[in-house]
Amino acid sequence: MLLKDDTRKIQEQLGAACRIGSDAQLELSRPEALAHYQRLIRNIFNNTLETAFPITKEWLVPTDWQYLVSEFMEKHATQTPAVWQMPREFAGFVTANVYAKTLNKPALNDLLWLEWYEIEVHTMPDVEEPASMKTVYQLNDSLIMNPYHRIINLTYPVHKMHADKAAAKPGDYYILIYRMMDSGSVHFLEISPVHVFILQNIIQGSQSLPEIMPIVLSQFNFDNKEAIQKYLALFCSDLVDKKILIIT
Amino acid sequence: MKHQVGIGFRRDFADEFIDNEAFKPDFIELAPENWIGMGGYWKKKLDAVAGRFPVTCHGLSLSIGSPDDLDWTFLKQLKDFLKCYKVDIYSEHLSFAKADNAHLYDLLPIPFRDDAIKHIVKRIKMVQDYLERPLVLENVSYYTSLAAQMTELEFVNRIVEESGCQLLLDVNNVYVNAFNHGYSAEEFIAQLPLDKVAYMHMAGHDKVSDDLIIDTHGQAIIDPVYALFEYTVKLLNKPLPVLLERDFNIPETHELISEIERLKAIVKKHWEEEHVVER
Repeated sequence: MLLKDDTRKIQEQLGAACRIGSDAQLELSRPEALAHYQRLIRNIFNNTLETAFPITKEWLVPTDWQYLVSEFMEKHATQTPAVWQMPREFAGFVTANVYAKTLNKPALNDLLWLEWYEIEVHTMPDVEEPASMKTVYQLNDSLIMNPYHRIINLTYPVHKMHADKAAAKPGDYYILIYRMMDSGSVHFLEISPVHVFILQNIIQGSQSLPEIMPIVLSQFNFDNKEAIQKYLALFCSDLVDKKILIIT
Repeated sequence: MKHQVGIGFRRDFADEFIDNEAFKPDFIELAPENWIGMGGYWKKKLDAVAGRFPVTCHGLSLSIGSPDDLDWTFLKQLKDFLKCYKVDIYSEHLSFAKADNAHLYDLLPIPFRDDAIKHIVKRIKMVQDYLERPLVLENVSYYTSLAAQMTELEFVNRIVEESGCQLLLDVNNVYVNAFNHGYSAEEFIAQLPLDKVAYMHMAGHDKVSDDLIIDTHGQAIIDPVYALFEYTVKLLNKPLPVLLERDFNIPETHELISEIERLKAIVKKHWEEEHVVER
């Protein structure tokens, strides 16, 4: 170890003083400068989190928002070297430490994750994009999924109403978040559990709706195969139009 | 890229780089941490800009002065990124931004101490070996020294000498530090290993009190910093790339163009004249 323990400790103390405001006796040539470092670092956390979670920040009263930021800075050791990915750690921290209950804001976790996943899908690393063979869907067409997507399950419908109102409507809400391959814009689509099942099967390698139908019928106890297949074919057709599903 | 003047690429005015024909910095600089792993809309913008301008990279999170271990996963991503964008110059800060296993996302002052030098020199060599390129380290602005046992000048010079790294001379930082800590900026620069300077930064700052300047990159460069820059350019006596940093409070593009032109005029005056004389 080339770095002596006392030097290491001094650096850790300065880091802690900046991050959590601990009052270790630091040997500083200008002690008043510590407050500037604390302010600068606090600003970085504030700005990054406000930019990532504008709806959550607007929704919470300022004292609650600042409380969460302070708790995060004090109790969480941020791991990512990329500051723009730090909000994911914030959402995980708030969820894991049940601040939704502490603040009596049941929809808090869902709103944070919804906002984060919008960023995540928007910035997903580029991959080789599948070429569409045709654009009008027919029942036996083989389908694959647009690679830039996330399917999330919310307890509160924060994607379509104010988070306080959403708190009164707990349930199972499935949201498909996807990025348009051409423009890069991100969109949300509320879908049903059957839709989720179809998409998961397509993602796992099933190619056409008729292939998936037997397991859909058995899984969901549908009796009227013809009606449900027609309904799901319309869903697939809609997703092809939206370029979420691609005909290969 | 020698004796050219570039500017930091920021999303706040990304379209200017693509659409504004009058905006022609010689190169752009970006923080790799802000782009590694990013796809979609912003990746397309980056690719468009990188297709128009040469790219240098100025990192934020290497944390060469950290007591924590180097992050090899990050270094692998960084190496891939530098290769992908054909980056010649990768610079970082002579500071630490991570301690006790937590990133702070700001540049904290390293204790000016002998053991810190040995620790950092070893890390610089490891990074240089891995990246297969010299590391270019910036003299950072600092608002207090931390448990120092030597001067900033001795610290910087020994790091450069013992590690074999190159120096990013941030002229505004020298001005800021000289003001904040009461030394002569000119004397400081004159005593640096100027033959190791590979890159230069210029920026504006904010004076927050009678005796403290903060290096914000949020204002235009002031005349005394231009004067210090000209003094430095004369001393360097060799063409180097120069970067204008502007991170906040972004002005109209024509104001940035004016700053770039003023920097270009200074380097042209001294470095091109020297070149003619040498012939």
